[in-house]
Amino acid sequence: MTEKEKISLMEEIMDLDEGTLTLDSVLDDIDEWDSVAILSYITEVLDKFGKTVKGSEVKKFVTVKDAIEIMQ
Amino acid sequence: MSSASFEGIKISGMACAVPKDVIYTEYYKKYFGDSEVEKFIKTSGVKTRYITDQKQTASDLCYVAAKKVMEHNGYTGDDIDACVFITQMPDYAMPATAFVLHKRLGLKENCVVFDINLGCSAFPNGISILASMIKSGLINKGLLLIGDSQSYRFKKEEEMIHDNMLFGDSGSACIIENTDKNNGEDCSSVINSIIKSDGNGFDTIITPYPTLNGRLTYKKSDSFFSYMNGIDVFLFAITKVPKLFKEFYKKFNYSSDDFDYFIFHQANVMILNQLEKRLKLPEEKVPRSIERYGNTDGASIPMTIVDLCERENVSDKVKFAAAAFGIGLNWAIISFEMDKKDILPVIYTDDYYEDGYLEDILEEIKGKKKKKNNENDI
Repeated sequence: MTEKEKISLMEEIMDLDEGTLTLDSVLDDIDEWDSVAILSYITEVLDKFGKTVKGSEVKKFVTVKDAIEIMQ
Repeated sequence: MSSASFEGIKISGMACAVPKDVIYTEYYKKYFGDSEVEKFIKTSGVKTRYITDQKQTASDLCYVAAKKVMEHNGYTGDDIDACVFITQMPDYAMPATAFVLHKRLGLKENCVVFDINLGCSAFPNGISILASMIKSGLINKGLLLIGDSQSYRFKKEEEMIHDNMLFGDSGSACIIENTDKNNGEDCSSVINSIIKSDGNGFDTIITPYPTLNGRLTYKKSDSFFSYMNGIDVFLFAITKVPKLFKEFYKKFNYSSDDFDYFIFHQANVMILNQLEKRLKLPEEKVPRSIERYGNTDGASIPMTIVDLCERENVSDKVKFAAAAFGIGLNWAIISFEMDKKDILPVIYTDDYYEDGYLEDILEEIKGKKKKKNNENDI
């Protein structure tokens, strides 16, 4: 998955229009980055990348870049 | 090894009681606003729940359910050899609340009585423990009571947190018995289970301070809030439970076709949707009670079964696979068959144990305290 596709996936998770997010978008500033989006993010990372993300790790994310780093 | 196959043992009765007072989740709109509450209803699934009042506790609900199920089976206190109460909301700091229930239900002296401190996964654990006691010969018939009254979280209305909208109060009662001696009937009955634990997650769901919703401590502590790491609980549930099913199918040579219904702990609909999807189960085989009763904690599996049988036209004999997960962390699965006639309709009650308020004893304790304080003055 390319970086662009990963950002698109984050947009999909947050139900945002395409092109809304950049790597530097600050998650805390996005209303749509709520508990539902976080759980959706957790399942996407699990299903698409076979990785588990803990609550404590999610809390440390500042930008979109931090959230997609694990997507490998 | 934490798995077992209990042959010749069956659950011969099941009842659930909830308080009379119903709360509609929409009621919270005045606190959190329309969109917040609507979003909560969508993600949790909870539309209504039943809440104990100031005087009713989890044990009161279990008492009513137990009376009903004993009556249904035609049993008196002399027939019951064990009374096990699983709760996180005991009536008192000590003794175990199971003794209060032993008294109220008029059970005999030759009876094993204890509490277990376990939450959401109470049902498969409790059934396995009682089945083991039967298999060992210690008992012949046991009463498994599971109840919690989470509404202790109502400190002040304006301080309500989201969890207040999630948890509903309920108490369940099941009779588990040996069928070997019942004139050869039901000897084919078998209960299979696997239990797992991971203490590394002890702080994932935690209430740091003790005795929260006891009979006499209700609303009296300032430190009774609980903590739940929602993300980790979610991840734990959606990864561990499917793995557990895989192991269960393999160990006992089952497939999903062997069961009429899959009953899951009613945590929230997001978890239920995920489990349904990951286990490839058809929606109609995964009944839900969370919409009507909320997350009823350890009693949520019997609650969902009772609710199912009340609403749907199930067959006379029903095969269940029930999985639960939660505080501990603990997750477990159990399979069993029940006769529909032994699954009783939901009971709505405002009954509570007046004598449990211990007026005389409290007076005596106060008197002693006073005396002690006076002595200190000197």
